[in-house]
Amino acid sequence: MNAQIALGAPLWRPPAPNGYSDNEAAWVDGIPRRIDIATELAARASHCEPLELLESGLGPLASPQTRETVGRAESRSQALALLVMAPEFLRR
Amino acid sequence: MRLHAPSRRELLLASGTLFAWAHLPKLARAEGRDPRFLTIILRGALDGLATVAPVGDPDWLTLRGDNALTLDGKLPALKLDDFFAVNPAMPNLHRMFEAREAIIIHASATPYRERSHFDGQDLLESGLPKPGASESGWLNRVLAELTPAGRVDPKGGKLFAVGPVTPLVVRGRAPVLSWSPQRVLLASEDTVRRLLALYRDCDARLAGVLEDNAKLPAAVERSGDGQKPGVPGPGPGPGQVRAYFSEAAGTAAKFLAQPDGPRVGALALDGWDTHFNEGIAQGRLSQLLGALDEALIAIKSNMGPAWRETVVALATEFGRTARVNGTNGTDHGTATVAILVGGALKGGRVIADWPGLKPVNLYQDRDLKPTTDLRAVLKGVLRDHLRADEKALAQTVFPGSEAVKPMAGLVG
Repeated sequence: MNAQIALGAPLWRPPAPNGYSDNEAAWVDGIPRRIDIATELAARASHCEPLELLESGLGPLASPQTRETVGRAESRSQALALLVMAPEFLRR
Repeated sequence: MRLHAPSRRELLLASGTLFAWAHLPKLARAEGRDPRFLTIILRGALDGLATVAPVGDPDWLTLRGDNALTLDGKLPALKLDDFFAVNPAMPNLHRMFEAREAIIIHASATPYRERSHFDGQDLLESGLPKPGASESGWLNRVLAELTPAGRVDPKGGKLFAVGPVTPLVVRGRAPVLSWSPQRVLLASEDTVRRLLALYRDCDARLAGVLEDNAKLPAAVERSGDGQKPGVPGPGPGPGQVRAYFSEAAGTAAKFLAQPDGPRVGALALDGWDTHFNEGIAQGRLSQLLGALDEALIAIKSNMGPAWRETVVALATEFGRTARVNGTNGTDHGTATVAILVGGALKGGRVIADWPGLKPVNLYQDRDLKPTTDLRAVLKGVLRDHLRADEKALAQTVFPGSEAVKPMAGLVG
């Protein structure tokens, strides 16, 4: 919930009558915050296999660079944080 | 401060979280001893040659060049014996060594010989000879082998069997308790740097935003006390990392020191994967080692009189390449250092069957060659300090390790 507020999308309280913004400028500036939140969320999912999640979540959409970045992370939790912050994940 | 069932927030933060056995070991207590044992897993692969440098090896300077720690550099390494010296960022470890409260085991490694962090960490924590699925870690299995004598008082908390989210090393059937630092450690500079490299390759818009934002108030606000004002970087500053490591390790010691507290625990400290701008004498690794050094002294001071009966084992999944790479860092390697500290040790020694640093001596012409099996070190400590059964150590704690004899004489 706090994470949602930090990202500018508090639950039940959209900033305007027409709902949450889906234009890029509204979320893209929150990237550093998103990285922190992704780091916390990833640590919770420590039993999760990042490369399996990459296959099931992105599959053929994953770029070779994203595969390499995730595969070379220093720990599974860092790998998960990098995966959910990958461009394909943010923009799909 | 209390140990309890892990809350949702604690599960968020496996790094720095203490996991401790809910019982006291019976056999050692029957002898009138009350041993404490803490394992610290250093995730990311610690550069053993940058932590404890073989300054007496004639090939050392050729190998590492400007990145070689020496006894007469601008920041001289701290002499341990005629051959080895410790990184200048670790004066407390040096003092412990001189007080015979520290042992360095160099050129040591787990049986893992590939270069994946995930598999390497699995092997280090599972205690198995090969990568592969494991539902339990060696520390939990050794606890299951020790006869419990009375329960730990969790200070009002409840005992529990942990779910699958704890670090592998403590996973298993022996019940453990947990405690997490109050402070939150934000995404590391390393994570931000890896993402920035990915964005630069694939998404210029995101790269631009991240570059700009790294200099904006959010980053300034959390740049920490250790960073110079005006040059805020992304992620937590060195001051915050120091405070986080010290709080995590220092509080672990407070628990282990309590008369009715736990006696065996584990925690993990991340961030050792130094591919770029490693900063051995000054910079990133130096700051991390400094943070670790302060964590060690926090453990010693918070242990109080129990320090005399304490052994802390620090281990990492593998080492780093012997030579420095093209980006002033080091890549995944093989042998590295294991560090033991504690008042129960027969310390003041670097134990190494030194393999040498000439190209022909290096493992695959690339890494420090492993000559000591890390399992021998851990088995030696578990047998002589916690009185774990030698046969159980060879068969269930570190399965298939009959040929790896426990290293004798580390303790007492």
